[in-house]
Amino acid sequence: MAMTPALAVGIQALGYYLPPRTETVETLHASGRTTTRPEQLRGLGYAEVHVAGSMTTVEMARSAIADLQRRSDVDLGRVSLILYGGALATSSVIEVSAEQHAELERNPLPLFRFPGTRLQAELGLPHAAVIGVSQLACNAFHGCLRIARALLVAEPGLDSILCVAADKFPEHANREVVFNLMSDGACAAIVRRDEPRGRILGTSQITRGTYWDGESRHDALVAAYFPLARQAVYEAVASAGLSIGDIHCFVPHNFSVRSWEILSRILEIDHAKVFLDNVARIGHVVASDNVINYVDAVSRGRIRPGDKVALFVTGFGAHFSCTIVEA
Amino acid sequence: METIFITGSHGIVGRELVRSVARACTGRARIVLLLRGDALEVRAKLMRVRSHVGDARCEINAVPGDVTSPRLGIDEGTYEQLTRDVTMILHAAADTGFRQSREDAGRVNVKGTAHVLELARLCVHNPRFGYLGTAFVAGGRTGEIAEDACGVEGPFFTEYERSKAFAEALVRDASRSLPVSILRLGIVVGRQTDGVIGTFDGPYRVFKLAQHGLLAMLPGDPSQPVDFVPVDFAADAITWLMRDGFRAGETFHVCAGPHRSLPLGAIMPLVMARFAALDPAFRAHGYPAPVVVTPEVFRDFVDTIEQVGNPRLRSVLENLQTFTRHLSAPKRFSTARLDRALEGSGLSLQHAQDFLPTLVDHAVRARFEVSA
Repeated sequence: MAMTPALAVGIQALGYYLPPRTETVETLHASGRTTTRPEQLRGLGYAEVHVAGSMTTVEMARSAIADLQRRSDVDLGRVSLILYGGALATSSVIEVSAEQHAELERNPLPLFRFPGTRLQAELGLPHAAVIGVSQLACNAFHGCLRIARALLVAEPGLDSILCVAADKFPEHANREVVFNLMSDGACAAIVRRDEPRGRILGTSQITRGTYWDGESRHDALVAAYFPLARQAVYEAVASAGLSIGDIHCFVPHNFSVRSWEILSRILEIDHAKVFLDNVARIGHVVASDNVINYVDAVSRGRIRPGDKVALFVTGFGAHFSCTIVEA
Repeated sequence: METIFITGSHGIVGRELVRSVARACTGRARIVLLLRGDALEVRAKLMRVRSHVGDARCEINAVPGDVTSPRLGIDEGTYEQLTRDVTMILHAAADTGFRQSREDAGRVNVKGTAHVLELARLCVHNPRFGYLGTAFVAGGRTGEIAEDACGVEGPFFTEYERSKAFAEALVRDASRSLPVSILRLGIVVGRQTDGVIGTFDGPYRVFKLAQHGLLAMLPGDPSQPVDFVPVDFAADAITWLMRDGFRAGETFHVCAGPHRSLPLGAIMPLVMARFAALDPAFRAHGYPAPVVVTPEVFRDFVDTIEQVGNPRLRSVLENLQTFTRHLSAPKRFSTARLDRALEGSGLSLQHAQDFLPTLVDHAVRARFEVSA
């Protein structure tokens, strides 16, 4: 039976940002920032990633919001809550300089400088409350959507919620995580009550804390991926009162193309319904894949108004989330 | 005096078979085991078999020897004596490894069978010859598998299967002069009474991987029955088929049959439910049950793991292959002839749904390890 709330909550606008600097799997490997050989990574479907360099996560978040405004002409003045998601642990605090880091024992105050409040200040939205959403890894944006939907149903005073996620890897970090190649980037969405566009029909989230240490439980996590991914998608579809065959487009996180070739058959769906155009070009953009892919799928005509769309993501922790949206 | 000559009495089925035969003996009878090793080793093995049998109704002796050797490697005097005494032969010795070469598999399973048949032909009492084969001589065939002759053409997944098909063909040829019975076993699991088994192999490897949260998927059709045959039922059925229920020249699937088997899709959820019931730590993990996928998807998964070079998962998948390859060619072993032959035997086999929890409980208690 469908568990859609009586109030329709929808996504009014979406935007994203990818830093312009790119690196190929070859240059990454040559500089020791991948473990797997370039030809194998290309075999998994990867070619390039986007790298933020000196750009901060808040700057990327602002750029994603600017993109959202360009695309939708929304009024940010109606935003009464900002949900700021950070997938990486470092995304939930403002970066500190090397000097400040060395001084943290004497002066821990920099640890209390958060990107959500800084974003509020920079956007000039003093009347919007801020809630940070962390510890969900790549599911951070899904967490924001889920909380936004619930709050809009529970609190009549809320009208528009700005959901944001922004992440960047340390400059010299290895960009290969469990056979996936990571990009830096950000995304943003305005979620509103009584919004006919992007209506959220159902959600699911599975968390298995047994995999909280993704390093030591790596093999078990890989083994759990397909069964729990399947479960999350089917639960979301059921919560929307739909069947898997009703879904017109599957908007993936950008795990390897190979993994989606397997997962689409496990889900018993037409592989052509999975939007994989971006995997080679942008890699796995931490928490922002789903928004980037959704926006691009719409612009390329892969998602049309009225289509039922499944957005799926997995994150360390481990979390498996799926949101069903009516475009 | 009845003299029953048994090979392979140290295998999973063999030792249970000795126990069953020894307990079924009536009147004056003795069991002679062919055991490999020097005198000390043979004596130690014999002691273990006797201990496992418990209350035997006959004496149990051993002769040192090896099926791979001409005249079974038995000294001349003993061999001659056997040809005068033996009234029944149960040939259970086999190399059941799935990775051996064609030569190695043939040496034990084909030549070894030929050597045991040679003894049978020389016996003055024209002994009943029970050959313990495998239902998996069906190899890559799918669908309903009848209790009939199968070819040696294959396709086969392993040299084990091929060698057993050739050995079965030898036995079938011998049926022109000997009263033989071909007894094909399914996937042998622990006793239905208490779950005890000699080695935690085959499906137990799969169960153990699931217990550690390392089992992602299994290939096959979720609705295909997986034929688990408890070793005590198998041994008792063979004993009956070689004694009161003997029919020369017949082939039987000593299997559970589709009507007493669980579908593939139901097995791991049941196994994992038992793990959860027995072990709070397992319950706390919340490991998912593996998904059942098509063989093509499973192969892609294996290829991907190969491609990314994850050594542990690669090892996990290699270990699974002995079991998963069979699942990739779904088949149903008919037991129509077995069921008819067992009428009046008093033997009964529970449905797998009823005995599988017993197997899992024992495996968990034993930590998937066999005590010395």
